[in-house]
Amino acid sequence: MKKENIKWPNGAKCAVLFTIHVDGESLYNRPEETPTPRRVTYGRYGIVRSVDRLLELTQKKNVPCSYFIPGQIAQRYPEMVKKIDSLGYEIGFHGFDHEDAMYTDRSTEEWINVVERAQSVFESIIGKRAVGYVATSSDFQMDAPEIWYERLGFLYSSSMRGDDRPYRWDFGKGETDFIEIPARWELDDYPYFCYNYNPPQRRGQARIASYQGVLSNWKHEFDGYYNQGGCMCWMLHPQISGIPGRSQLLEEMIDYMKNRPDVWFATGKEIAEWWKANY
Amino acid sequence: MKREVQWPENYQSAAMVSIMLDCEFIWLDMDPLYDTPKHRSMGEYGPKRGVDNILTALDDYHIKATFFVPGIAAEKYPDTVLKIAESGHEIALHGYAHENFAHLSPDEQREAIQKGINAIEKLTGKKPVGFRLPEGDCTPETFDIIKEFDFLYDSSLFDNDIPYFIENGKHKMTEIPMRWEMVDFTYLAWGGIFPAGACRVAVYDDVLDNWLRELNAFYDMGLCYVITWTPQTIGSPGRMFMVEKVLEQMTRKNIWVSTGEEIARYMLNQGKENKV
Repeated sequence: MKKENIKWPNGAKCAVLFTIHVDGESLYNRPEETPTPRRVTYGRYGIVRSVDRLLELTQKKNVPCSYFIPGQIAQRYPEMVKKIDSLGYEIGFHGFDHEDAMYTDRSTEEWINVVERAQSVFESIIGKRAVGYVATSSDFQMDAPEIWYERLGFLYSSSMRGDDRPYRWDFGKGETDFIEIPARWELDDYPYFCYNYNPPQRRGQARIASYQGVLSNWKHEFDGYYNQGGCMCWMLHPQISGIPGRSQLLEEMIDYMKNRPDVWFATGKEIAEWWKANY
Repeated sequence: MKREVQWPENYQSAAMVSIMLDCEFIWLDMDPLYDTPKHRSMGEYGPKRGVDNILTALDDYHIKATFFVPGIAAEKYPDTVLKIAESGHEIALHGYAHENFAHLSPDEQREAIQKGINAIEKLTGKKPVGFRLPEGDCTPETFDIIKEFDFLYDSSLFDNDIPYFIENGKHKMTEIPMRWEMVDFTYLAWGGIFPAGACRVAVYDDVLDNWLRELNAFYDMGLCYVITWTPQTIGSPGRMFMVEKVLEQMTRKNIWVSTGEEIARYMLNQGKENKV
């Protein structure tokens, strides 16, 4: 099917969005009955070392980012949230405890309460609420996105996988102003690199991927988005992409993209607002 | 970028070569069902063949490594462990029977550490000053228990890329963090129960590229690179080139390649100087 390329701002050929999922300890400090203190330090690395490293890198390269922070992490590390916000990066919603069955193990009212709790943490730290919604690991019930928009007032979500361009959500009564910026697993560092020995993580304990191989995948992906005019939406995790060698890999990737003069690097909020005004 | 740790003699960064002499005990601890001849032989390859290859490479590059040894390995392979100690490498503790500390009560953890210390001290005459958890997790009590034994340092955690102190009361222990990315077993070991999804053995050149990229990045940033090898995994003829390449890069750069004990002592002394 032939499709017309999107007309991005300032004649850009494609858009690039870095969503940074600041999981910290949240993915690893459960279930409470069987604590794994050693594994928790794998997540803590992201807070202790990576966030500063990623901020420094993206400032040096002038790359906007959107940081999605679980409520418990914002609560535990308010100075980090303030720093990210004060440097002009976006703060978005990513669960309170990085709930992994948020929409299936509790009622709608209960998960709405999870969202409100995280929002009130953001409000108390930086005086504003998140407008971007990135669903945590789990899938969600069919009417959840409508609730994110109608009841919770989010501007956009980046939770779907079914496109390589933003689109307006349609809840059966025509297109709304709720924007989806879909992301794709191949642009997620987690499936390539996440590792724990025991308990095995991921559960099949696949090998940590080859850095040079992944970099090559990512360059192919960028070329594809650039040629087709898509919106390249990354999912990066500080505990994964912030370790020394992989932060240099990311730098190499950013340089590769910055080689092109006509790429629009933007936050999720900027892309959603622009899409809402233009498409 | 500013350097957070001032390494000795103006070295740009630090590195520790850690060797885990897991032998067959890593397999036996995974599942008692694997107390079988073939699985045992996979682990036995380490002391039987791998160790000598690694000792030769370390000698060639004049590098002193830290060998984390389960107490039971010192009992079963005394000649191997003595040979390592007599070559000037550090012998540190890696549990008694390579037990997963997540599955032990606090008293069982104490017993494993005490038995491990006893086995090594009896053989080498020196009490180990370093500890690394056997592969597996631990419990909320574990780090208090480790400190009860006055270890100078631990090297099990993942939450930094430079050494730091874990303090409680008057005991101050150095943590020298490690990473799964720089362990051979995670990429290359293969057996009935590991890896859980029976995924393929990784491509050697890719694994080496990962290790060297991290080594270069740790060097650029002035950090403490900890590579971890198991003789049963990396010590075979076709894989030793990976060890040699990493050691070659380490010695070619301005890196302080040292043992866990030396790094921990340096950190402690530096801490004192900074306070004065």
